[in-house]
Amino acid sequence: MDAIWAALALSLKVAGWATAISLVLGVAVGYLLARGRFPGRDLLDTLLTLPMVMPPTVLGYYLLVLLGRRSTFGAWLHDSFGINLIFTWQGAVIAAAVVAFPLVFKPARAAFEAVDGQLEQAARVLGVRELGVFFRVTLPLAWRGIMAGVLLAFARALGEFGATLMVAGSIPGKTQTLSIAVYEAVQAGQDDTANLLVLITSALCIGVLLLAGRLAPGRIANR
Amino acid sequence: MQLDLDYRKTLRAGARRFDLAVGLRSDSQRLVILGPSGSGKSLLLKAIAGLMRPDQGHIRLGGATLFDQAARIDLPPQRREVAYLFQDYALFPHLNVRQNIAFGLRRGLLNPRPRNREPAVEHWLDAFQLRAVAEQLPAQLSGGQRQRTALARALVAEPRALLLDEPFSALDPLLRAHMRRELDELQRRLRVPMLLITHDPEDAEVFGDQVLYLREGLIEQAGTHSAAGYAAQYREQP
Repeated sequence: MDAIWAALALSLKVAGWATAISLVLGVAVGYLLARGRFPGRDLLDTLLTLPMVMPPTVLGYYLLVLLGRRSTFGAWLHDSFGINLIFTWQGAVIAAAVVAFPLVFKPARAAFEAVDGQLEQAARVLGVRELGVFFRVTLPLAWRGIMAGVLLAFARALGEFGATLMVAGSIPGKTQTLSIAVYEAVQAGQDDTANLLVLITSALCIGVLLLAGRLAPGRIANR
Repeated sequence: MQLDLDYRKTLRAGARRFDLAVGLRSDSQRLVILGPSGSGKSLLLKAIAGLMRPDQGHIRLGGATLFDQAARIDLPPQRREVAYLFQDYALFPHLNVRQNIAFGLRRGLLNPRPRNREPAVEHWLDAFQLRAVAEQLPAQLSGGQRQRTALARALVAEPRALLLDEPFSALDPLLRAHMRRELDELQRRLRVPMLLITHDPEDAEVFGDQVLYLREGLIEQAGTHSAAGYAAQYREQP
């Protein structure tokens, strides 16, 4: 029973961090893609969307190659900071963040594009600087659209399996998240444990989706 | 209002090309620019407010140079100290009336609080009879209340000049006449110089100490004439 709660706690921790990272990067990239005019904009959008359609195992392999100690970046992380991401919960966070990120930046871009540019101009004429315009007008008006994406990203990060298993493995109490624990339980023939894990995961996902539905962009205009 | 405009701007949209060449000087406190839609009226106001950058020329207002291509002066909209009343008011939909009016009084990264008690905001809430709806969002207001809120938001920072873009076109005819009278009295009381652009000759008759006619990006005639004469001329235009 303790193992189940440990897996739940770990899943929430990993998904929470992955969502936070996706939120910050997704808002920044979504804004850049919505307002920036630069060559290669569509290509960048396509590349960043890839994690949504690629098999998670392929993503996991990419991350292993990038972060592993045999890669330049992985070796630099280890030698300079003593950081090793492979087979750690932080590695699982990165895997989940990469998978969840497109679910944030896509709706964020759409939400920023839907903000009426005239409102931003009105704010400028009233003397508010660019950063103030962003935090006082643009972001609040795009917020509901972004939050709907963030909740989907959280649900996706919670269910992450393939890339996480490749990068972080399945160490009970350390990197074994709910979805991986389900797999291990079924493999070991522990049906009771599997049932409970599946129920918990389903309930969590239903709750998140209900919340996301309440924040759907269509409801903004009526408020 | 000492207004001295002389600038050019070329806009391209696909194969279409629009040349705006505006040259005008005015000392009038109430200047109306009359022109059909598509004549470049809104661009003229946007250039003064700093929302559109001319290709060349200069823009001076009340002794201050806002833009001068030769001298490489181009004040950002934040520092031009003009008030802009957008055609559909551009009220912030996520902020209540009180917050909308107080918006320009706070320059930082945070919006005014929903129940702020700025003295200047209190003054305008009373002056425009908006106190009853002070905590409501723009979507919940009537057309007249929206316009008053937008006017209060524009005037609260005591601007150098008030720029009005088709201020009455979004109102139904009865309310339009009423709001015209209201703005007329307000301008006389505050003595804030105003520049109003419109396609409606009636606006020119009420507000035009000086009326200019803009057609396809060019000021056709400048000078002080009777608004009625201009209105008649305007009505004859196809």
